[in-house]
Amino acid sequence: MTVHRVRTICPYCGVGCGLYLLVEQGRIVGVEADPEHPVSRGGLCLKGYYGYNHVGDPRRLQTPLIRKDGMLVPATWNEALNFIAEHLIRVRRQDPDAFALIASAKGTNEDSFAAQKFARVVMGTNNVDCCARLCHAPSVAGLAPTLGSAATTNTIEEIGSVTETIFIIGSNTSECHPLVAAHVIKARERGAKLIVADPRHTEMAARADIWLRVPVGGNIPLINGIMHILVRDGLINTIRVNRMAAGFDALAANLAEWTPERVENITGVPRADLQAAAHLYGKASTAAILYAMGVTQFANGTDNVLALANLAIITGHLGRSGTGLFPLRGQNNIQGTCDMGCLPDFLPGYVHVGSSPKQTRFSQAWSVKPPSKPGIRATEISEGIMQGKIRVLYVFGANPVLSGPDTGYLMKALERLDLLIVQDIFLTETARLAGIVLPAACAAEKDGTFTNTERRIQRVRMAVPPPGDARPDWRIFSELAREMGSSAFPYRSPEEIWGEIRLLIPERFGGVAYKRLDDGSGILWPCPDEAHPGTPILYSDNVFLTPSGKAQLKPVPIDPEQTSVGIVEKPDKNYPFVLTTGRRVYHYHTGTITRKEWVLSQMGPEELVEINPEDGRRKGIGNGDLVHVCTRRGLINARAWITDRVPPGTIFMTFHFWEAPVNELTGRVQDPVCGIPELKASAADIKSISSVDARMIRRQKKERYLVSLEAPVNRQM
Amino acid sequence: MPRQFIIPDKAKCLGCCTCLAACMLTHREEGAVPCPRLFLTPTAQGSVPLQCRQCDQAPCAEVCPVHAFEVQGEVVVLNEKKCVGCGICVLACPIGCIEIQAARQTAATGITLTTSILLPLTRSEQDEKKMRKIAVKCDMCYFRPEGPACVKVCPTEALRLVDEEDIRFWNLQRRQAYASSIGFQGAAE
Repeated sequence: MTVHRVRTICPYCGVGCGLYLLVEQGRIVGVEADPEHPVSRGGLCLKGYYGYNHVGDPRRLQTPLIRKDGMLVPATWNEALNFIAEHLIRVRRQDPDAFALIASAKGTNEDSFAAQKFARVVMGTNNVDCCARLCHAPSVAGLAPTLGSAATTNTIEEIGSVTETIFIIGSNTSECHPLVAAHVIKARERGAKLIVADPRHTEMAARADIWLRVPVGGNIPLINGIMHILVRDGLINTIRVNRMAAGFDALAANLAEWTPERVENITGVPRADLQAAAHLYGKASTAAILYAMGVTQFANGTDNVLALANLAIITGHLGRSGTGLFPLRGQNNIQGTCDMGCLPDFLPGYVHVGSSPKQTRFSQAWSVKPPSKPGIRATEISEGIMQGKIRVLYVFGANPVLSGPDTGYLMKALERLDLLIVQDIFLTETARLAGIVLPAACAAEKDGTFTNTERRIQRVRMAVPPPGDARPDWRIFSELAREMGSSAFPYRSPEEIWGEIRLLIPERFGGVAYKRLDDGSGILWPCPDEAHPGTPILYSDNVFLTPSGKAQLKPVPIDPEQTSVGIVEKPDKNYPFVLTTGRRVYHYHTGTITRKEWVLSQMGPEELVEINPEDGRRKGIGNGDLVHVCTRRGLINARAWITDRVPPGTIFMTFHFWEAPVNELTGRVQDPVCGIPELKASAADIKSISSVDARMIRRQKKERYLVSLEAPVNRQM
Repeated sequence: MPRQFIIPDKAKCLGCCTCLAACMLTHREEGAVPCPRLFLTPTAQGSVPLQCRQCDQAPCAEVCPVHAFEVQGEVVVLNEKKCVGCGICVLACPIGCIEIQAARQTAATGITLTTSILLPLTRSEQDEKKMRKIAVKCDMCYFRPEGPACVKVCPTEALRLVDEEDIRFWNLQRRQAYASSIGFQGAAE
């Protein structure tokens, strides 16, 4: 039998590794790593190698489903599109802002562009957002005003080959971005130093030269302490800083308060370690900062990012090979989805929806003036529904019922909607509540582009046809727009959409032709014309993308008298633990895909709550015991993993399992600047429970979420 | 005669578990129990996958009451059909790289594991009775012409296949380094 090899990009995390799908008789039978890929260089992690069986899973959605008499029943595309169009036309006539769209960060750039264009042009609202709201919204809010762009400044390859000191903060790199961790390992082998700041003893923390066990929420004191030491010890070239940045005097004044003694009192990080870390980072000729959700998912997430930006600016670790800031993106195309304008306040290319002179190109190209009022954020949607402002929600490739926060409240809100439209590849926990479900093609079934965490635009190729009547997302939006009488979606292929994107945002994407992506190494934006090689390093020569061309230093926090870590819901008598959340290497986000993979779900079969041995002894909880975990918002159960990975007083859970839906427990408190919820810190309690109680809780969750165990929907009906 | 075995390179392993997944899948096809034959071992310096060293005087083979261990080429292979799951080899193994694992048959997926590699958890006593327990150990994927699966997939090349020639080479290097330390400079063939 002949096996075709289709070169494409891994659909999991934001690293965007290159791989070949092996296709035999219309089925994917294996994966090979792409040895020439500039990031992965012939390596893949276990999700990349073994996470392809979901493509041909019999539980894939194959026809549209419409709710009739409480049941989701199969329908034709005509029926489905008619039904939605009728509904949306009515909403558009009454109040376009009663419609909101949550866009997927797993689709292609072309899908994302079509989604936001649908919301803006067809529906006439800016109510479009994506899961960046739950991950890197603070990076956008923190890096855009200081440096001019929220994107990663340098390429991942430079970490492995150039960087002298690597500072990882709030990132479990080995598990969440294994192929970035591989570059860190490569750097260590040639003698680079590694500093890790994390409350958990992660695989990277274990391999670090200096591990700063910062408590949950202690990032700002820690980073300010590092900067204090650098200023105190004369390791800052103030002439250079003042030449490239504005606001150093105010920053230095703020830093004076942040003595290592005070930082030690607040965070418990020994001052000697802090000083050693500061000197390693500050004295290095090239140093890079890698960060992820441990920095952003806080109510002061934007301030956390500002603090890191300050550190990179004053040390001059920007704009050269091997330096920079690396906000590691969790989803394959979250960078692209933001670039494409799936944000309530930005049009494609980060053109502000308000009065920006660049807006005219959109009104000209689309023959409609895009709405100028910023839309609602994804994290405000449940509140918006409760207040009656949002009546129709279109969820495209997302599973907010598990990804949270405070999903109990969200689920109540979803019940109040006039219509919930879900477009996905499986009947997710969210889709199960929908009024109408549209079957989409997955990454292996369509052409297009992904933009990885480095800004590298890469070509994704169709390897197999979609199952049944499933269609690519861009096509669904185009057909729906046509059904609603719009002529703005004449696309016959993703390449035509990409052509429009290139024309609209020439300064970033003008030179990125599909044919230039064929060699498999991708192009890093900005790339204004076809002769331009792309831009691996942002801010070279220290020219920033801010209006003045200078970087802006912004001292944090606002309250210099702060005496404790910056989390909102602090532990108390009734809820004495800090519950923090994250991921494991085996699974991906809400497990929609990975829990359907045999090998991945065998390796990570169930949720484990990480509990420190000291707490386990105090609470009478042994390894493997069933425990319940509760916060002010809910109660779930799982098995205990007694481990030193977490510090005393902190417990850790993932959001992979509907059986232990941790986002029932997380709160809705948000960063005031960018609206990210504080997913990393909730006050919680744990208690050992009997297997009878555990079974009862499990039964409740099963009634609430049961999807993955259901028989294939389409065969059943 | 020294045998072939696999060792992890401490400087290279990043703890991503790709090797375990590869092992598990390979032994789903070949082998009675689809469990990883490498064991993720937590240490203060990070987790490390460890596996059988294919000892020459293999204590597991010596103590096995049913003679289930066979030497195939340079590898000590456990004949899983013969294994009775008594566990004496687990006690005998000097490096702890044999484990008793259990699997049970279910109609839907063929074989379902009942253990997590992070933490062995048995579901309930009732389930346990249905399981067949056998010893699992690294067999170097002797049935795979392309060699051990773990070595092939490791993204940092942290798992290394060591054979007789490697050992000879390393030994020579060490002797030459020692020679130079006592005044005999320069290597020669």
